[in-house]
Amino acid sequence: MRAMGPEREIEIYPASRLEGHAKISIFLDEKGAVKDAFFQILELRGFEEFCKGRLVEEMPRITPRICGVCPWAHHLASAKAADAVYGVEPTETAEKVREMGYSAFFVHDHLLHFYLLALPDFIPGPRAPPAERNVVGLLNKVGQELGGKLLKAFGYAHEIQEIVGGRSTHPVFCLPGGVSRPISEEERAKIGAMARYLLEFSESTLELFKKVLLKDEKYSKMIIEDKNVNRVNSLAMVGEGDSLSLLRGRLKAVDPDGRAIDIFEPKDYLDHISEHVEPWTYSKFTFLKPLGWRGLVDGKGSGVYRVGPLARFNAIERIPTPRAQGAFEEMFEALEKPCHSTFAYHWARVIETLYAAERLLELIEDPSIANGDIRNIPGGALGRGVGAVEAPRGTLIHDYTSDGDGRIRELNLIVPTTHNNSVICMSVRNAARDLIKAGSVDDGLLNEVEMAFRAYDPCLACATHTLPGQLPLKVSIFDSQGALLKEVSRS
Amino acid sequence: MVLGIGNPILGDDGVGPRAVEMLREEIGDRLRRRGDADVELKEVCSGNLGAMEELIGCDEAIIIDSISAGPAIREGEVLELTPDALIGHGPPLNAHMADFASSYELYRSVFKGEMPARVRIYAIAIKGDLRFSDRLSREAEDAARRVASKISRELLGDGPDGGAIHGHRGRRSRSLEGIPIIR
Repeated sequence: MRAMGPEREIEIYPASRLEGHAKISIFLDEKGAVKDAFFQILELRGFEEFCKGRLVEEMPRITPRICGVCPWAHHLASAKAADAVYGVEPTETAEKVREMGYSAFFVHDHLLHFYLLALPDFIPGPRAPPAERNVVGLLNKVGQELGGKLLKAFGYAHEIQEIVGGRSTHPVFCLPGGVSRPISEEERAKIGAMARYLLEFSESTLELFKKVLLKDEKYSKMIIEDKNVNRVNSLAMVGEGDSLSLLRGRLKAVDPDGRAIDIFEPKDYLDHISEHVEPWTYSKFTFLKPLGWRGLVDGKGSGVYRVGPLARFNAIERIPTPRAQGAFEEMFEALEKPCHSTFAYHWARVIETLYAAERLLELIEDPSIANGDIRNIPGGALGRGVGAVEAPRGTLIHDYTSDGDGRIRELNLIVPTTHNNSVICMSVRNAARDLIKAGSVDDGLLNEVEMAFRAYDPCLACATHTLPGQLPLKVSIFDSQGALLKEVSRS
Repeated sequence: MVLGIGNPILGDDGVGPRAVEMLREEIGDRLRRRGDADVELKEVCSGNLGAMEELIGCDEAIIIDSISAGPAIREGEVLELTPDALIGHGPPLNAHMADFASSYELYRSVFKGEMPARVRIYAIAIKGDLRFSDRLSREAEDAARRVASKISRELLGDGPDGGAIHGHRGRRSRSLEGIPIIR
């Protein structure tokens, strides 16, 4: 985007270290101060049209291919929508198997984000040269031994996903009413050993987070500094007693002060969430219907809300596993609840990793998970079904309407990054205003702007895997007459 | 390991997995009949970091993937590459946009001795305008077939065939000097 008039534009394209393709445009005024900033999503389109006419029971195998990084979330949300279309509840064992595989995926995904996306911003730091500001630079700083442990954790999580899901990356095991194969006792023992390692590694990750970020004055300040705070509503799935729950529960919204303002069954989401469209981006902006759309503003009364780890922590009252519950209490002794600091996402994410690892071990140590009772056979397709899960990045909703033959007639997906679109734009704007003065831009500053939204771990439906072509990253600054003043390149 | 990387519901992005599928149709039975457990044919639809997990423990890998066509590479052409040829041609290392070369170097430096010593990449040039579809374009389908045939001859011990998938030889861009282009 380029504005007319006495404004300058800084563009960051493509954004580094994100899933998908995005562009950040920052508009300066004549004095070089940031006037506004937009995070623009350039998504692949046409997925809903692609799915129409396909069998509902195929959707859990198709939808994971929306993204190569969060396929399990789509598989589970789709499976739940398919259960609802057929009016069938999975068996208790099937629910446990689903959650067990999903927990392994959750651990893997959160660890990947923390070590590959987030931590390099702090070790070696945002001012390090681009070539070092990645996991290779991180390992050079903290030692290669950590890298070996990390990749072992990735490998174990992958293997558990492959045993349970049928394939390591794109699971195929969910069917309407259950799962396709039981867990054997031999597999239970093997998964148990790997789960114990993942729990140990998740605990050491939390310790590393505390050591690197919380005990460093500069970084712990970032967690509470105003420029990284957007006081918006939070939306998340909650289980019994408003506990953390990734696969089952109602959707709860709390206001910026933490007061519950809405709670509803996922199937009724259209009565509680609506969508707003802006002309400069393909992605929609969702908002809480009772509050209405008032633009990209925060504060009480705004309909903007966030989803994801921090939103979950704002909405819940407790975590149902002991070690993560202890860490949750510790976090909210240090921070006010609800918390609105963008960087606190990282803290919440690390605690969630611990929860998922505890839950994985709990489930695999339950002997009934191998009892073979894995499916209730459904009858015919009934019509509409909604499935919601908490994906690593936030609430994910799949909504299918089928015809009498069990084929998709209509489909609607709301992915976490859509829920977070408004608050991401606001975070980028806040960071840019504080970090770019008098038109002065360097690569480290630009990375800090990106850090502001990377905390949300946005996934931009990047389903493409084509080897990259020659697309250098350039930042161009133009004067009010449109002449190029400065260009910074990441290539 | 012969690994096809790509998304089979995103049009020509799925050319890598499709080539592996063709390869399996061509020689899968023959490999099984001769009890060849040393060759694995696999498709993966993930980022490059996820793809690296598939290579752990392999001695040698052949990767089949798509690459964006442009001024130097026409749609349907096939480049034979090594990971070194890709250094500097991708964005900075990150979870989903991690480029192949950086991901391979990372895993090779951390998982010392566990990653394949030799990696060859067949990069099939496709148009950048990707849409959701489970079909390949004619150019991509033809290129996938050429690559599958070449690899099948190698795996069955017929030796590398430099002529079978070469077609018209046009002028190469200077930026691709030294990289074989198969048209």
